[in-house]
Amino acid sequence: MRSAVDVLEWELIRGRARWVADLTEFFRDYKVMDATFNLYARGKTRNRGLFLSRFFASTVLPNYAVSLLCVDESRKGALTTDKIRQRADAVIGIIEADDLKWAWLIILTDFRLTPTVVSFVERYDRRELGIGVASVTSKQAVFSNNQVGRSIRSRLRLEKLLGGLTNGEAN
Amino acid sequence: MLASYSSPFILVSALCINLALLDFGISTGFTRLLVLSLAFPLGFLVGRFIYFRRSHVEILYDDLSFQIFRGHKRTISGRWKSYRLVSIAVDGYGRPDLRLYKSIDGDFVELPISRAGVRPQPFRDQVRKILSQSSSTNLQVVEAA
Repeated sequence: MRSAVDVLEWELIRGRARWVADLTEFFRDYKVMDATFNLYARGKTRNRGLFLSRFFASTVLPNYAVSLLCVDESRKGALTTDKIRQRADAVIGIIEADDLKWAWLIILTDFRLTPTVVSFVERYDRRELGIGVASVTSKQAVFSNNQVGRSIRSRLRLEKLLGGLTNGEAN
Repeated sequence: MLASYSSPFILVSALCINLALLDFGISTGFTRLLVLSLAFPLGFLVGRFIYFRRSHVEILYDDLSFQIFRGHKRTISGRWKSYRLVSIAVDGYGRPDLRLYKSIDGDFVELPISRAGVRPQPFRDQVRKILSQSSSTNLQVVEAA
């Protein structure tokens, strides 16, 4: 049975993020400092394409390095703001080390999102990091209120992706 | 892939057969249709021969090593223990291949698994397992469909 991370990875391989970034490489269980991320995808903002779209991309779009990190906190207890802050700090470290323009951080949990977590994520305001936290069981999702964070909802369509998961896949 | 190799030869053999039929003065009737239909197996056989000789990708691996054959040539070979990290890398045409790293952001080799018709995620998981523990030596073959 495929996990939610497997499904997310497969959708990204198929180009789900193409309107924002062209993610071309996918690592699993990627260790950075003390943190391990279930999925680490990296790529550039300039996408591929054929003829017109490639010409458009090479003349108009900037070629920034970006990445997506996903961690599955299911079966690890309730999600707290401390856990989110630790993950966010680790991603900030990756952004600085790899000279990334921005990064997406997606945290999946099997608990309902508490008002504290929702408030923390919505108030997160670092421009270079967009955070999305979603419950694979209740299908709740919350995103940081910055441009990168909002694109997780609008471009990655994370809620729709989770909505399509069966209970077996979610677990 | 096989169809793209065969179709030009089917077309060429149909043209050749047509010219030959005209030379023999057969320009209408069932015999002409029957002989022209030979273009399909003929073109397919030629295309298949060239495909297997030049482009067919075969991955041979066990728990210790791997070899990639393209046509009759061995293009890549190596031992799993030389590599530390594996990733799925999408090429310029959107095809997912496997990338083996000797060190993070260091040298790597790319295994063209998309050409062999292998599902990338299960194969990557298998390679991850092999990288973390190499023991038995059962030879397996992954072959293009």
